[in-house]
Amino acid sequence: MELFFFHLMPWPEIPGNFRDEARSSWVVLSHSHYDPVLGNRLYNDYLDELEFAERVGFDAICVNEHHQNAYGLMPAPNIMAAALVRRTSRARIAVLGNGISLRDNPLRIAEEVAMLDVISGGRVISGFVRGIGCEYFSLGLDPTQSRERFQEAHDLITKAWTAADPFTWDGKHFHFRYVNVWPRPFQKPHPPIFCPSQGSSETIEWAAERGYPYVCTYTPIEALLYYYDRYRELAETRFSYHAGPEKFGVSAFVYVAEDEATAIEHARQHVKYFGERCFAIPLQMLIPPGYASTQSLRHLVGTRGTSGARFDFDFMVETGQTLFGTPEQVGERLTRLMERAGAGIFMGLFQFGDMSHARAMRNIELFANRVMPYLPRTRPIGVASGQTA
Amino acid sequence: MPAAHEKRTIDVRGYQVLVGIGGNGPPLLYLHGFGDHDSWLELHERLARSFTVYVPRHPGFAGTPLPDWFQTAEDLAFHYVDLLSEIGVEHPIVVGSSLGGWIATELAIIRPALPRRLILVGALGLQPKNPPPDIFIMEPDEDLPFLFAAPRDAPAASGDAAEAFVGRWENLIPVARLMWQRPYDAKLPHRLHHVTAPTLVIWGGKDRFLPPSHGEMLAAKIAGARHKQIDGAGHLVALEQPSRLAEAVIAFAAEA
Repeated sequence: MELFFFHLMPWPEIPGNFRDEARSSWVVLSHSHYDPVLGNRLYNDYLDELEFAERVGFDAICVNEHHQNAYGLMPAPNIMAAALVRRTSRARIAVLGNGISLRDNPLRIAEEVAMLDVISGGRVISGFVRGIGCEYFSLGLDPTQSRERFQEAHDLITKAWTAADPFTWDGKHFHFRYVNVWPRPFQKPHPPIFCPSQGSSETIEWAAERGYPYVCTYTPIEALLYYYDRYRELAETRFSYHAGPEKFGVSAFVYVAEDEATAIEHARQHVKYFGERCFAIPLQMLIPPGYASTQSLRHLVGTRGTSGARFDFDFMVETGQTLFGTPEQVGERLTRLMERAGAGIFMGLFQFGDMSHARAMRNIELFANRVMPYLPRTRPIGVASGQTA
Repeated sequence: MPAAHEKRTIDVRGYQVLVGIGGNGPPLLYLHGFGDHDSWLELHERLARSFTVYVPRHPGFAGTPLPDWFQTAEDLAFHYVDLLSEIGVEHPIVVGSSLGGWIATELAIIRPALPRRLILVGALGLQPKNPPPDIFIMEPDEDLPFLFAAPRDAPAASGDAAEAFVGRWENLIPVARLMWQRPYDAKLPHRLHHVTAPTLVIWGGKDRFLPPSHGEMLAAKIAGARHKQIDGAGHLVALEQPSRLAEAVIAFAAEA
C-alpha cells in the first residue's frame, strides 16, 4: 500500500460553548476567535509535521482547501504546497484538492499547479474537488451550479495542460479568448488527478469514467464499500477496465501509543474535539440546495440521518474512520481495513482536533518506527527520476 | 360552497407546467413564492369566488426539473408570458407573492400592457437597504416560523423527518438559483418606470424577511402605486392572512 500523510491544520481553541454564538464552526463562527500569534506557531508546527512525515518514509504529504472555518486553516492549498516543495525532496505533494469550481478563473489553478509541479520536479498530485456545501455559503457561489462548474473547470484545466497549442475557451461558465498557460506541467501529460469525494453517485461515475483515484472521506466503511463497488462495477461494465487497489484511497484518523489505554484516552479526546467542534456542520450547510442530486441526498439521509455526519468516537472506530491502539493493533487494523476496502492508498491523519504538536510528533514517530516497517508497501506512483529515498 | 378546481399540465415550449385552475370570473394569475407553493391554497379558494384563478408551479419546485434556461426571475417572467399565451389568457390580474412578486414585477416590465392590475405581496426584486436573513442556513423547521408573524401558526412538516428534509431542500433549489448570490435584480430601479399597470403593494406588518419599509420603497418607485399593510402577517401573507389578502385583492380589482 501507499502511505499518504494528510493534515487538516485545525484551529485547536474553538470554545466548548461556541454554539451559543454560532450554529457552526464553519461560515459563521466569528474570526475574532483567531489569534495570529498562536496561528504563527500552528502553521509552523503543522508544516514541521508534514516535513517530518516525508523524512520518516511516507510516500506523499497532503494538504487541502476549505474556507472561512476553524476546522482547517488552508484556504489556499497551493500556498501550503509551495511552502512544502522547497523543504522536501522525495515525497509526493498531494493537493487534495483544489476547489476548482470555487474559483472565478480556473486557469489560476492550472498555472499554480503547473508551477508546483515544475519546481518540485514532478512530485505533485492534483486533487480536484467541489468543496463542501459550506464553501458555497462562504464564497457566495450558487450551489445549484456547482457540479457544472466543476466539470467545466476540470475540462478547461486539463485541456490547458495538455493541448499542443493555445486555444480559445467559450464554455457555459468560463470564457477565455486566450488560453496559453505557462509554465507547462513537469509530469506528462499532467500531474495525476485524484478525486476526493463524499460519495455522490454522479462523482463516482465521473471519476470512474476517467480512471481517477477515488477517495471517500468521513465515510463509514459500509457506505464506502458500496461506493467503491459501484466504481469498480462501472469501470468493468461501462468503461472497460479493471479498477485495482491503486484507484482507491481510505482516510482515517490514526493514533498509536505504547499501551492501549493511553491510545483510547488520547484518541477519544481528539476525535471528540474534532466531531463536536471542528466538524459541527448542520446538514443544510453541508449539502445546500442543488449541491447534490436528490438521489444522492436521499442516500445520505437514509444512511446518516438528517443531523449531519456522526463523529462520536465509538462510531468512528466501528466504521473504520479511526484506528487507535498499540503499534501491533494499529498495524493489524489498518491492514484489515485496507483489505476490506480493496484500497491501495492509505491517507492517515496523525494530528487531528486539538492534538498538541508534541503528541502528534510522538504519534507519527511510533507509527513510522513500529507500524510502517510491517506494512506491505508498494512502489510509489511515478516518482521522477533522481528522486529516490 | 368551495369553488371547483382542477390541476392541468400545460406544455410551455417543451416544459411541462402544473397549473391549478379554478373559479369563475376575470382571469387572475397567481405567482407563488417559497412556502406558498402548494398548487391550491385557502387563498386561491377565496379568490376563485371572484376570478378564474391560475396557479402555475415554478420550475424546480416539488422535484420538477430545473431547466437550463432558468437563471433569473426575468427568465421566469418570459416563461409566464409563454404560459399565458398557451392557455389563451390575455389580460389577467397578476398577483405575485415573495419570489413570485419579483417575477410579477419583471413580467410587468417586459410586457407593460399584459397585467390588468399588478398586486405585489411581500415582493422581492428590489435591492433591500439591509441584506435579508439567509434562509438557506436556517434549520429545516426554522424558516417557515421565521416567515410568519405568529411563528406558532406556521405549518409544521408532517411525517418522516428525512422526507421532510428532502422535500424542503428540493423546493429551495429554484430559490437558490434565483437568490443565492444576489436576492434582487440590480437593474430594477432603472426599469420600474416601465410598469404601467395599476399597482398595489401589500406587505405583512410583521415581515421579518423584508420589512414593511421595503414595500414602501417599492411602491414609491412605481408610478401611481399604492401601499397597503396587513397587520398580523409576516412575510407569507398568503398563508397567514388569506382572507384579508383575498379581500384586499378583490377590493383593488373592483376599483374604477
